[in-house]
Amino acid sequence: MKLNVENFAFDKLLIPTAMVTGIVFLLTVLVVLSSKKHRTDRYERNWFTRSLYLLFIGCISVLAATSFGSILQQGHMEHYALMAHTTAAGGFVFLTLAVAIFFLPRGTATKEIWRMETCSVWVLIAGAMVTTATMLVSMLPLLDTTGLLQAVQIHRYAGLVTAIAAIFHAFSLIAGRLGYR
Amino acid sequence: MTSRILKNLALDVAFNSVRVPLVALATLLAAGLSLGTATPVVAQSKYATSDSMSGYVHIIDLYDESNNRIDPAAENAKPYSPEKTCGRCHDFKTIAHGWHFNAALPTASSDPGRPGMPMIWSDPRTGTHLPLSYRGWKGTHKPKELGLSNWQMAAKFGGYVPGMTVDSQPESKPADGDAVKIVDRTRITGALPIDCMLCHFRPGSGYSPFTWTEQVQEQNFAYAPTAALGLAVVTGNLRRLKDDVDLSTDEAKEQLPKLQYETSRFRSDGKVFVDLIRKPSNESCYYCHTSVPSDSPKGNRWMHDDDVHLRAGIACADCHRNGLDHETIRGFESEKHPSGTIAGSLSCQGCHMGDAGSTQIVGRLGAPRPEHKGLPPLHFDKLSCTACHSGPTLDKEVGRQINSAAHQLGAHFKRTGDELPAIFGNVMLPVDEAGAAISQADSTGKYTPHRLTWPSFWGVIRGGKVEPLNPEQAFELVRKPLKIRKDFVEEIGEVKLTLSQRKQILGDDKAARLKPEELDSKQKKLIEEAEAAERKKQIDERMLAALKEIEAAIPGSQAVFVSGGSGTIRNAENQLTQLSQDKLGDAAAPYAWPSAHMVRPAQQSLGINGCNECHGQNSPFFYASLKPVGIVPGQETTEVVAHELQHADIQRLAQWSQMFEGRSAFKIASLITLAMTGLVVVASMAVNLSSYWRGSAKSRS
Repeated sequence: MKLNVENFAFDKLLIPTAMVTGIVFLLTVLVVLSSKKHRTDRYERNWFTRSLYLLFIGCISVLAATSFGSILQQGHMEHYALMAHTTAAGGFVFLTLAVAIFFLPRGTATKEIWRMETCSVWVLIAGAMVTTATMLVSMLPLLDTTGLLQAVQIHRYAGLVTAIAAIFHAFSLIAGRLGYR
Repeated sequence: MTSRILKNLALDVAFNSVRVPLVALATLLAAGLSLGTATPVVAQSKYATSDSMSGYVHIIDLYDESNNRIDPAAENAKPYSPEKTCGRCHDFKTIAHGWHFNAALPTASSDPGRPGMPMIWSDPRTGTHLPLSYRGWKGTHKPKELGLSNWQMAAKFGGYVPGMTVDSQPESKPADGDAVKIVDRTRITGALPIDCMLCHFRPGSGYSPFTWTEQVQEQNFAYAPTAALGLAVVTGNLRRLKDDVDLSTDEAKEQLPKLQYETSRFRSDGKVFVDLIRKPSNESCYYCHTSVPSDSPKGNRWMHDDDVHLRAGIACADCHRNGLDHETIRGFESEKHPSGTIAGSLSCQGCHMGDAGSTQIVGRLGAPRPEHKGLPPLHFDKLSCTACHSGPTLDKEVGRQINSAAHQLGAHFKRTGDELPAIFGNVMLPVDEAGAAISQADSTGKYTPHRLTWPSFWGVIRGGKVEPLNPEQAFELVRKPLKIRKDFVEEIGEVKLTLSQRKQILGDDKAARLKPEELDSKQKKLIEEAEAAERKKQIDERMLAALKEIEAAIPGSQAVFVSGGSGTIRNAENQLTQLSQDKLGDAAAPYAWPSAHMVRPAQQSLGINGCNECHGQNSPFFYASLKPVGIVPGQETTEVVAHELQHADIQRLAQWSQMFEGRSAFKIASLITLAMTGLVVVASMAVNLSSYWRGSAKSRS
């Protein structure tokens, strides 16, 4: 008996989602490269903020690789993959707060930020919160097995959304840093 | 096998919500159909039945083996035959092929299923404790392969089985067992009959299962049902008759057991009221299926609780039920039962959780659906229900248990609880789909509580494999060199120092002649040390001689004595040495079989106190220790830790345990962090909305 994603068709969703994400991302890159806008008034982040963000992206990469990789490979996550996932999850929870503090746009600054960056960071933080909340609630004696399975499902989809949002947000930051937006 | 629980639960959470009502409707319809068509696999078509839920009062005539009605007053009245008596109204032939009777039948239709409790051939004379089974369970030996006849098995274990159906084929010798004498006294005792009453007696009615056992041990097979029912007093036994006795002689007839019926039990019309019940009582099952901690004989029985199901009023036979075919449901997951889905619905999971898409009836007898709040569903992949809910609570040291057949519970004699064979339980071992213990390397295995025992036997290495000898043959070979008459363990180490030895040790003749109680502590110590040295020397000499004797009797073989997880051989220098593991193979490995009872209440289940019960450092689940019991006095055995038997990745387990150290703190910190993140998000939204409104107002003005 396996906690098998084929029950929920999540594994079938992963590859199409990855393909669509890839295509959209490539198109975005092409659009950005072909419509370069030189900006000189961008807000520069310090090394500390940048380090936190890099760590955050690192955590998301580990989380995505261990979860989606395991699911695609064997239908479920276990052993060292699960250990790496839970370890990275610890960092992810605390770094989400840091990213929310330093990267969520506030007030008039919003106008000066590329819309893609604005939107992706909101999705990123919202997705991260749902991903975290579903697992934290699952760790408490609140939900029965049905509830836990539902929480796992929500966790998976929220995680997927978070990973996609992280790709676009990271790209938007890089593009801005390189002066394309 | 695919997931049952999770498949079922998956339906609850499937995103394709349209399918849920359809599946539910189909399941309900199917369940309804199942209820309506719950016909037994074998219908009782041939005989009239009462069909009343109130049962049938059995005031009946008794018949003997020759199908003659029993006259209790007759001279030389014969014992009653359950086959001829019960078989008048019940399909005895069908019943006789049921699970409890068909093990020895080569054509038995029953699926051997997951390993069960073996018949442990214990022979105190040779220190043999060998798990046997006709079912071919891995780790057991088939009796016929050892040259043990069905009759021997019946005589040895018949006291704890309600009968044995055997084929009429003559007993055959093992492939290369010319030296093995096949013991078959069926000619004298008859075959072990099926005694319906052993299971169907009403407690308190006067039927004595112990008398059944006693009579079987006396080889009074045919007399056992009558004596156990209390209908007659049997004196004498068939055990004393020699194998080659001529039963037609008057002398032999004189030696046959005498049977005196209790005439008051017979009515004036010659009928007898037999107080029986359709559904076997728990007491009936317990007679052969009792397994209790070894401290029970020491007076600690009262400290142990009963099975939670029994306390709730559910009888053994409510779950372990059967139809006329007597194919008793064993109740484990993936059981292949002739009835099909019924068996599945009577397993823990089937009854409490159900099986998606099947026609099973869920919630039988009011079984509640467990919530398992906060238990990650991954655990259902890794653990059987019994892992958390059954058996004694786990401890740092795995305790010993005693059970009916192996330790003759029910028989009235003094026990210490430390009697051999040493049976340990419970140890968590992963099992395969069929329920057999497997290596954890196969990650599909579910951890299931097991009992286990290390075998001990005299054997030979043939074709690179250690094979046990027929226990009778072994005794014939080793009794002289070991100088054993009754008990290997007690007698092989028995030493008595000679007067000259004592004189040499204690210094003078007067001291040497003192009785043990007259010795002072220093003298006692000296004597004990000398005896220990002498004992070791004596054991070594006798073991060497025994091994040599076996090798002489079986040319080209190397003799071995397996005990406590290791094998002892005689090397080229005529010294005792341990057989290397690669040559020993699995021969000395413990035989393990899953245990499902006693079921503990939810509040006593494993993990009720948190994840660390299993995931903590040195948790008994993975780190409980066992010390195999060596049969040879003074034999040192190597302690085994549960994870070694599980073949678990200990490094990974240790890392997991470390991760669980700060889990509670992590939960609190994470919740606080999540709340703060939420505040930051709300604050950011508020600032942005405020900014947006301010910007809008400014542009309007």
